[in-house]
Amino acid sequence: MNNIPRIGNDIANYITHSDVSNNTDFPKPHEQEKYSIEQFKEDYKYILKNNVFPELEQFNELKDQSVAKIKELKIGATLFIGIYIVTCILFRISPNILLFFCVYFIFTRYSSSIKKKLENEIKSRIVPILIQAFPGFSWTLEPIITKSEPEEDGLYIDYIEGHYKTDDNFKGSYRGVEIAITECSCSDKNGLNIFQGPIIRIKMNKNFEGVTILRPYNKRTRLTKLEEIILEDVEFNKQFKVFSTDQIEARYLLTTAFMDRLKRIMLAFKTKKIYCSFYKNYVYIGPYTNNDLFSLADLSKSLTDEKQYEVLFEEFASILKLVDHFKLDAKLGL
Amino acid sequence: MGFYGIPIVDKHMAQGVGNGGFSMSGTLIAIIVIAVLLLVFLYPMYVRLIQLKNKAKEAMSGIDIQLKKRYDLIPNILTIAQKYMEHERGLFDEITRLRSAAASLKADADTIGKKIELDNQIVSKMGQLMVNVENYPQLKADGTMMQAMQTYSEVEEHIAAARRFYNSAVNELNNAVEIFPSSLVAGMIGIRSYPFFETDETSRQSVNAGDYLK
Repeated sequence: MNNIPRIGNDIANYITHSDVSNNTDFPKPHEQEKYSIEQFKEDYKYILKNNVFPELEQFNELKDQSVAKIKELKIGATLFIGIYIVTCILFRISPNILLFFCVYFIFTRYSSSIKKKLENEIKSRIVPILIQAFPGFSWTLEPIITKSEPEEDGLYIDYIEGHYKTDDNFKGSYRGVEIAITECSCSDKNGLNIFQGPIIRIKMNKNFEGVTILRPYNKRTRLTKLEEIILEDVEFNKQFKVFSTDQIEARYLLTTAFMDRLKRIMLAFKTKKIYCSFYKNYVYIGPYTNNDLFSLADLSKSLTDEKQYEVLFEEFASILKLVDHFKLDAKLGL
Repeated sequence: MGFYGIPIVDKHMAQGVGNGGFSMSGTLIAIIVIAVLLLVFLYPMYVRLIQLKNKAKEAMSGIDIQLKKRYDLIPNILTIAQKYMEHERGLFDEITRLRSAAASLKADADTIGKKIELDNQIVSKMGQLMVNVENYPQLKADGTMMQAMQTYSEVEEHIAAARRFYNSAVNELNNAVEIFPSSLVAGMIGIRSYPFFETDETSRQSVNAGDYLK
């Protein structure tokens, strides 16, 4: 008990299933303090080993069932294709390529939904426990940044008539700065994927009234009702197009330091596209990662494989580091 | 003169009249074509110059608005600081004088240079004041003073942003005014270059931290 990590208040708020709290080794709550990412890591490892891994045993059976279902699907699809090819050969019919794609599509969709269902089951149980390593944060599958919010701030105007699907959502504060994260994918009315990645909403350390939007550079990009802003940073102008309701406010928000940091974020998230907007005293940052973040329950590995939890931690911590990176916890004039 | 006073026009004369007529209409067409071409090329330049001039004026006005916020804030800061900083009377008087002079100047192309100079001096003096505040712990602990300084800091950030907009607009205007052929049109309609917002020589000198850490 001497090695109990220091954990923040309100554990009950983070636990959604009462049977989880029956674990008597659970750390006791105390006053919230300013934590560093390194301290979060230590607490996270402790909780993972002592509180999460014991809980995962009950999911082994469910995992085996899911793996078995997918295996059956694979066998079924392979048999179907095999029979179809043999029939084509016997009756000298030219095979319909479209059918292969249909079978592949159905197999992929169905096995993805089985995997997702298992993942959500596991996440609903263990992520509320893991998130206690980050005092002040909570997790939910319900969207925190809802569809209307990106519409209003103009972050993703293109998809208004399309689809907005969310996955993991986090909310809390880091170094006194409010943060909300919604992992989402947006597609237009034709089903074309426009964005996949986390939308990160952070309370700005500056007050402003209008809207300023940054889009990945595209010559044809135009936003009606907003003025295009040409900034001093030539490299920045090659990567982004900036639109705003006010020239001065746009430059107040997009200082040379901020522009430089935003370019470096693209390297950190290994993406060539990043969306950003400033609206109602919040900054919205959307790196286009094009993959499923905060993913667990890899069916090819053991549920207690530490690597996937390390990746989960690093993905979450990299988002918290945005506050340090952009110095949003201090009023520096930068 | 021919019979009954009617002038006789022979074929040579007629040809001469025909040729003269042709050259007159040809010249007229050429003039019209040149005029249209000039209009097609010159009018867009004229429009662009006017737009750039108005954008520079808008940017200048933007600075003026932000500077006005600063001028309104300075008396509040001086009033609070005066209670504690009795020995800085000279500095307060200097800031007040500069503030009054700057506030009385309107923002236009003729006075912008003077306004920039006064603004740089105000920034320098206010910077001195902020440094001197560090020597008065009671003043630093005053909540009103802290709020005033934070507001001042935000106003300074807005002024910096307004300057960037102004310099960007002036850069575009000056390029159009100085580069041929729009420079010809600019000369014809009386549009001239605007000065950039530059820092003064004192601000450009590198800071010696030793002067502050004594």
